[in-house]
Amino acid sequence: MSLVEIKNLKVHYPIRSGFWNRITDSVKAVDGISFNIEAGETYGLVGESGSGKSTTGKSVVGLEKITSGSIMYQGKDITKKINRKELDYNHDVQMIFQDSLSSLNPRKRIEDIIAEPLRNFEHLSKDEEKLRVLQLLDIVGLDPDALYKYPHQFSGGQRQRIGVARAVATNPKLIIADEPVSALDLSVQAQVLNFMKKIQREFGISYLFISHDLGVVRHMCNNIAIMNRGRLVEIGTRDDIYNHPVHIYTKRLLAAIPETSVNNRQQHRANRLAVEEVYREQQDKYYDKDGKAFPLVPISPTHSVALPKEVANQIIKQEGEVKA
Amino acid sequence: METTSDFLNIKDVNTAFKINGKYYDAISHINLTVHHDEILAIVGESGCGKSTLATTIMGLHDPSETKISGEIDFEGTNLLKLDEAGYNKFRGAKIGMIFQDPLSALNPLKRIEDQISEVMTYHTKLTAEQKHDRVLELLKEVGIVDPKRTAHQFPHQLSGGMRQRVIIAIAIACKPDLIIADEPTTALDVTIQAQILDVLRKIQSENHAGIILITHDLGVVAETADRVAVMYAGQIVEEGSVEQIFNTPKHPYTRSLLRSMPQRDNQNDDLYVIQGNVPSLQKMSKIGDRFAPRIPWVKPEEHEENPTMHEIEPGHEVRCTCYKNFSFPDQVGSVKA
Repeated sequence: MSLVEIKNLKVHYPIRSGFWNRITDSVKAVDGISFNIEAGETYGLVGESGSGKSTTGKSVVGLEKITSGSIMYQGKDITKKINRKELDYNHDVQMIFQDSLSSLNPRKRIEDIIAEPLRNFEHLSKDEEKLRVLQLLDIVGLDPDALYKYPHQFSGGQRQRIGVARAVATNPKLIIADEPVSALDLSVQAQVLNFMKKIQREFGISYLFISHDLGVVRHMCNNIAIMNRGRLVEIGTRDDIYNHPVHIYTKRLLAAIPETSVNNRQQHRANRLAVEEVYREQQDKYYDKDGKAFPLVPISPTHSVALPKEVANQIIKQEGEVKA
Repeated sequence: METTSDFLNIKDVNTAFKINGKYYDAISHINLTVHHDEILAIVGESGCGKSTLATTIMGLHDPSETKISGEIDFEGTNLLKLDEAGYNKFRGAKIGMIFQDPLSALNPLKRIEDQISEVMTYHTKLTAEQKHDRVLELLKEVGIVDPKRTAHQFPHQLSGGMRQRVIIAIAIACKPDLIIADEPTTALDVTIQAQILDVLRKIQSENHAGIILITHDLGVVAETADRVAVMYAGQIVEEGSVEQIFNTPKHPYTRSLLRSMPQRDNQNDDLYVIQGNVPSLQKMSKIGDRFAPRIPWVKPEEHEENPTMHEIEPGHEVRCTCYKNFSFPDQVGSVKA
């Protein structure tokens, strides 16, 4: 059994208009997605802005009310309040936010910020609490004198690490990381990513890693889902997605990542323009008449793609021929 | 126009900001040239002075709070000697600037057409009709599908990528010789980023302009730039062609940056972390190699006392001599520069 099983999750926002302010339409931010997160793995959720990836993350932590579908955690549906209580869900699942400055209370000292989840869930004495906070600071590599400082006294990377320390304070089983490094410089990004991997090795934490940066996702994630317009277009292992992409949207995203190999840049660019061309011409083959992605069909035990079965097989066959 | 290909010469430029009554150098001893028909990328982490350099060239600093010395020679005029009125003849007309955040760079109350023709009202003598035609032409040039419709819209009606295209249209409205693009794609998705970079490259080749591209994204640099200057703590530490910088990087900072990037071949290892932080303005050391505190295993005698730029190949320059025997602690002996 997977740690988290998301089934046919939908989050729709109503659009109200007209005289009575009635619901006339809805924005389908997340429109029927399903995937599983295994214990101890990092699951990557990738998409452009507006694809619904953050909404998915928020509904998994419980910050967003879902329209339909289910999120099973250890076999129980946590969209029902009673199950969340029983499972200690809010204790076991934590979140790391993108913007470290606005996710830390500017008027609280670091000690209080990191101790907040402990005070909520674990009844520790004053001394025990302090000891725990000091341990956490040590884990994220900050000095003990950080205890009495305020968030503005830290750099962006340090603040992000404080956010991580707060997220791991309760020994969670799952952490939702919503673009945890996209606001950081390269060397600081490396620090935070290494650190997230380290605590995963030590504590067996699972991550739902939400990002638009395919380079970072390749580095972090075992399994990856590509999201487009509220639906999943392709899921698979890192190897499936990066080396054998099938859906045109995945190919397009991959082709757009800038490569650091200067010598092949002409070739890389030609490849990207070719993929763009195919994307323009064959859109209707990859999406149904309403512009929605098709339901996912498995094409290998680990790899599924949002295409009608025949089309998927045909594409794979064609590419096999081109290569041969 | 002159036939010499280098038209922007930055010579020994320092910009110092006043903090609590004292001046601190944000950029020091910058020497750079930009040629026609090339994209010069300036890379570095935040706090290294990339944007300060751009705003210094554009003359956007408040003279009562900053002290600028040196010379910026643009087509025979020293920009730093100009007064505000003199500068205005260059800004927008001969030098265009593209900002990072397109929403705050556009006026929310004005239609796109008015914002683009504003530059032309200042710098050209076109009639209203000619301006209208030129606006449509410009919008088409930056890849907007329906120029007529977009010209009548307000900024909030456009997507991020479209807004950035409008900003580019404004920057190139008067066919500037120099375009400064400060993190033009940082706020955009990868697919949109690729399109915007294509537009920049197209403009550069059609107008024979020189572009200064400021970014922290090494991937963008590798795909777009012709030449690269790497900045650290207000100084240029390495300069060379894009092939030289990416294939044979020399300076420890350049090599550290490249190594800390997640790449295809290091996906299962830990990433390299540069120790310490970029020093703040007040803490920047005046003497010695500014990068030395972040590579503490390198012996002091490897550094120069007053690091200068050394030319190691035609067009490839490196600051300080510490690059010669530099290797990372986990691969001592295995890689020699």
